[in-house]
Amino acid sequence: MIMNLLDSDDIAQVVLTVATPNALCNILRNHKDVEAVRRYLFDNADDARQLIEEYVRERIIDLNPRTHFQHEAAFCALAVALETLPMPASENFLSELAALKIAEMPISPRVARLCIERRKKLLIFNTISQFNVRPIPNNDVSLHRRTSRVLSGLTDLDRRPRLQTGITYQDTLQDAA
Amino acid sequence: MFELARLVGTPPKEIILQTRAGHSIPNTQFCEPDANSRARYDMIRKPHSWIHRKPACGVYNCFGLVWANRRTAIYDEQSISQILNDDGYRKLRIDEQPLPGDIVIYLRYCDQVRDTYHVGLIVYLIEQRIGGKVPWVLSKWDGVSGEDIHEIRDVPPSLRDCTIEIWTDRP
Repeated sequence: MIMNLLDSDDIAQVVLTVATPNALCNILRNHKDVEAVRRYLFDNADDARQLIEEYVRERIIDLNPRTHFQHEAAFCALAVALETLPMPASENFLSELAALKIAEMPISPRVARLCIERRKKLLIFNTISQFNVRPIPNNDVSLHRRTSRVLSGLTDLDRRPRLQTGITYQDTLQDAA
Repeated sequence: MFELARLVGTPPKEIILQTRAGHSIPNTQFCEPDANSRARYDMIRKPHSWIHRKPACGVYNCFGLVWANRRTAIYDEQSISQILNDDGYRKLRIDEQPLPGDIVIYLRYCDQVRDTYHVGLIVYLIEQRIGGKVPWVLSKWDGVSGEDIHEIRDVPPSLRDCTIEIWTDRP
């Protein structure tokens, strides 16, 4: 099963020798096994939820209180693999892992929080890039007219005579008192 | 998905840790390593000629070793910048000789953003045959690894391409 690639010694070694979650994310993003799992889950999006839940369930049973969780490296890698996948299953995994605050797993929830942050940034970037904003053509007479009216800076309010009352908000308050 | 983890897991333990300027540094102590982590740490050490100082243990990571007296682990990039700034560290000039007590930072720049991968403490310098002195560094690779003393460039594969900076608190 391709998900087992995340249990590799290579990934575990990366997690065991890099100290900050930021740096960890950067290394794992380019890791071949993480990339392979991401591709597999993307291609099998219908089964993704089941695959992820099964993967987590099979490993979480090894959690022992007051002992470092042995599959933490794999969970870090899974979080990074799911970071850019547009599916509810990845959203669920990341948000649940990010919310987890237990001493046995100090790194993977931090990695998940970073993945969620980046996911949000990417979503905003992708949404903007999907807008097809074209320049206004100059030869369109109606548009030109409308544009020139806007540029003149005159509105209905500008044309009305202005009243100089001299009354301030302070005055109004004093009157009321 | 993580119901069992929430039920079985214990709350993370944080201690009061501040910079010289009094800024709080978020931290969490690591649990003791599991058998797999111990075995992996031994595997990492195998191809290197490091001096093994201490077997795998929990509580602190490399930042905790250097800046928190082995009492806790620090994780945030922001905290590292805060410590360097508040505790009067400066980058060593090219013409300056490093000394024991200076610190070595392994980092990379990703989109012009600084990512710190590891920090170690220079413990001694060894004269080379071709001249010059090479710093040897005391490191704890992760929250569940042990402590090793290694030549400044003799590091695990994940740190090999890192930029190395030497910082000091000397005036």
